[in-house]
Amino acid sequence: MEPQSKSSKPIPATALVFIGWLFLMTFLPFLIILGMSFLERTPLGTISFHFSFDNYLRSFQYIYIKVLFKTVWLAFMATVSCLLIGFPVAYHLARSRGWMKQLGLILLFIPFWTNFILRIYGLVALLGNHGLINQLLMQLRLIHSPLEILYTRTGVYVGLLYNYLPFLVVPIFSSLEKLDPSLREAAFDLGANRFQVFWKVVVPNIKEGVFIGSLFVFIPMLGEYVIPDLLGGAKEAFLGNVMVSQFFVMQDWPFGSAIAGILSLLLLFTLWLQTRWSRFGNLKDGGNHA
Amino acid sequence: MPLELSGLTKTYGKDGSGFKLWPVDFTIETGEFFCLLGPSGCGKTTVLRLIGGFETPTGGKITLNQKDITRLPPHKRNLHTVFQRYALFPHLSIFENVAFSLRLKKVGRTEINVRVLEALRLVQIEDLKDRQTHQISGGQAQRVALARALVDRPEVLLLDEPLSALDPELRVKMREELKALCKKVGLTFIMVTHDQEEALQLSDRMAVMREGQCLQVGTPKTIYEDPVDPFVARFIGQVNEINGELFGDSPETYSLQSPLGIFRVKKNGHALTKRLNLILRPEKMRLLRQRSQVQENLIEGSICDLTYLGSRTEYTVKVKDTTFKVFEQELERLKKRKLNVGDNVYLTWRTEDAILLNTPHD
Amino acid sequence: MRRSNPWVATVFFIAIFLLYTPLFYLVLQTFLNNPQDLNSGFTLRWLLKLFHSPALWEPLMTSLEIGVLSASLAVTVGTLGALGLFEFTTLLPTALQSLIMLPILLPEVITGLSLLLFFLLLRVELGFATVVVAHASFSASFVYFIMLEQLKKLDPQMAEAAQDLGAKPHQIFWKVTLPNIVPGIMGGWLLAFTLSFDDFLISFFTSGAGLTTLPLKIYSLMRIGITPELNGLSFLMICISTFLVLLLVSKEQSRKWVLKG
Repeated sequence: MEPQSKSSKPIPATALVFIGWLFLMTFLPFLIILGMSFLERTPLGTISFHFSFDNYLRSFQYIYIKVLFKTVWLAFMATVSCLLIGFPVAYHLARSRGWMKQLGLILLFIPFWTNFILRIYGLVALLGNHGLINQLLMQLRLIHSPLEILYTRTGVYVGLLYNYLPFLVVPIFSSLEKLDPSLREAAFDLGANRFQVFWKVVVPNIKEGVFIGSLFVFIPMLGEYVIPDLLGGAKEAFLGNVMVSQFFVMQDWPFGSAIAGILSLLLLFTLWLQTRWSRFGNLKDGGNHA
Repeated sequence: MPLELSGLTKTYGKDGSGFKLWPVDFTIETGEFFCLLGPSGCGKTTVLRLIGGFETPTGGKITLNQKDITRLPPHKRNLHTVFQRYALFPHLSIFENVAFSLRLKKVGRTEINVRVLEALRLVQIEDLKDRQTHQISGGQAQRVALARALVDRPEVLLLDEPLSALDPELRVKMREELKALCKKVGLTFIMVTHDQEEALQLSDRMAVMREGQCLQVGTPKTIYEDPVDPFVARFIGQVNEINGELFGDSPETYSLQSPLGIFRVKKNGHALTKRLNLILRPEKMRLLRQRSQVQENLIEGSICDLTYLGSRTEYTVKVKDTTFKVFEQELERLKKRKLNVGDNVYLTWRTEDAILLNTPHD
Repeated sequence: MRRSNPWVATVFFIAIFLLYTPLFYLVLQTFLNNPQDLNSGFTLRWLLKLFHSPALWEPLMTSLEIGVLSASLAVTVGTLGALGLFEFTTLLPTALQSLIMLPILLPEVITGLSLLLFFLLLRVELGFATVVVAHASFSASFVYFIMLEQLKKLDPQMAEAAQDLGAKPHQIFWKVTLPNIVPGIMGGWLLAFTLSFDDFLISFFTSGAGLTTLPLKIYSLMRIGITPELNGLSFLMICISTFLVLLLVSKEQSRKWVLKG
């Protein structure tokens, strides 16, 4: 009620421990890798301290551009698929009651308490040439030779979908939960049918939460390394995989760092889009209230 | 052993652009129930926090029993605060909440036991001592907060809107208990509230504040019957106002000229300027069907609304562009109402019931 | 009114079924004579063999040790940060907010590689210590946000009430603030531990040659191909995680019952 004089207090020393830790252990290493991207590799494999943009120019070659587009495209498709499947799942959870809701949420999350690598291993076992799917299909005599799923683009796609689905269900679920149930009732009362209630009342109220949830799935997908590595094989590399192979196979650290730089720019761009979008949304809201 | 505030000020913001508390001067007597009353943002909580030691004043002095406590930390002031949302410690039981200050002072175990139980008995919740804070109701939490503040035997108890979190029925009940508690323990109670009814019921004296200024200090009767500022009059109870200018000055009375006529008002010692407000309380006005013999303090209007409220009927009377509220007590059970909406009536009042105040410059 | 559309329910149950299929298949494989053949008959051989392979127990212990240490480090740093910055959260400059978000937003592959470069530049020998520090470097921010939420739940007047009753700043912290943020500290610790225990990529980059955590071990076994021991291990870990979830849920439920009663 009364004004408080908070701004005059200094930031306490305890916070400096945390800030210092973040600076030293995250920001500084990140700066190092960015700095590295402007250096050059000598023919001998050592690094020369010669500033240039060559690594960035090199990354405009066809093969790298192709990887960039494939990464963005697959991450985008997987996000959209997560959304298409995740929405009914979240909707069902939000509409069920009491212990059913509890149980549903628990069921959704038990797989994610098992180790990440093990989950991938389960997928490898499932999708492989001798995996469950191929064994079943062959025994049913639907196919004669195993389907190639593992180590293809489909494998990567399935892996992304499997691992990120619950992380999109949760934000959709919580947006739906936050929605006042009387809004729906009011809309029905005013004569809207089920479709109108859904598109004109439910969707406009949850779209921002769903959008931000999608971004928080999309962004880590862009930087994915393990899923393409284990489910996609050499042909289906993401930017992250190219980056790692530059470091460990090609021994070209500056070029690998430049790819890290490009990946970071991509993330920054996505985040910037998000802030633009939500600011636009706020403006529209403000207009409605006025 | 009074608590004295002299020239107490507080300014927020470095350039003075923020909230400003103008110099506050008053003395609160020992054992008095004192209310700080005003709308939100008037500075009443700031005054309480300055007394409590949670804010440092920009200027002025606070003394308790002639001892300067202006710059002492809260716990060295021999007074305690009961917070608006009680601020009970959720990790401690009711007993331990009350024992908190005694444990910090390293009081012996048997004495703690005796004093905590005594404090709990004082607020009638002895049987709750082993409960956890989430197992009690709002009214009980209020009592725990009181016991926790009283156990240390302070000289002054500060209460920051202590009843605002309770539901209306309980609030009225707790008012009576608070008043009784104050008299029983003989401590000074200083309470912040924005509820005028609460302040009227509880206070021995009160201070009415507005926009960082203390407008008037006095007993409830003084504040109601003899306000010094139109804002005070409007904030406590209801008022009818007639704006006008000073017209004449006889040894006993002033005259006010207004669009509604010329009215006489008894002198009361206030220094008056040219622009004035005539303040009339609705229950001190009378409605007449016919023009009476009385010629002064009489205005003609018509009833545009009436509401029957059991103990009284409230009439709204329109006189030119001004509306007046008039309360008429229902003194007889079987009396038929003589006045109806649309009737022409005359309003009158006794000269000594009118209050004449300067129009503020805003 | 509250009944869900049957199509929506169907999608839900199919999705849940598909989420479990790989895990159930791993469990099933553990008991097959030939894990690659559904018709090969059942055996307990592989599960028993698991208990005699030290090659898996050692990485498990390493992972647990790293998890405990890095979670404790992250909780200390993150809690200090939250306690210090709590009052300023609305006033924090964008640069500082971005710095706090950076470990959460940065892809693991970049975090891992940049930490690797950092350690190499500092000439720190890669191993146990670097993995612990690396894990704590990203989980501290998660802890920070959990602690902020916890601190928001505290009544801001509580500290003033304690001060009013005679508590000195350090007494306010130890006797009032700390006891009330213990749930957040425990939650933060568990999250940091899970993040560390689950982590593959950052350990992959910062562990050097000598050290093997459990995820690293699984990864190297997978590179060889399907091994029955790995299936046995999967079976065990699925059991443990299911048990943990159920334990957590039942505790939560019983707490709710107590509150209601």
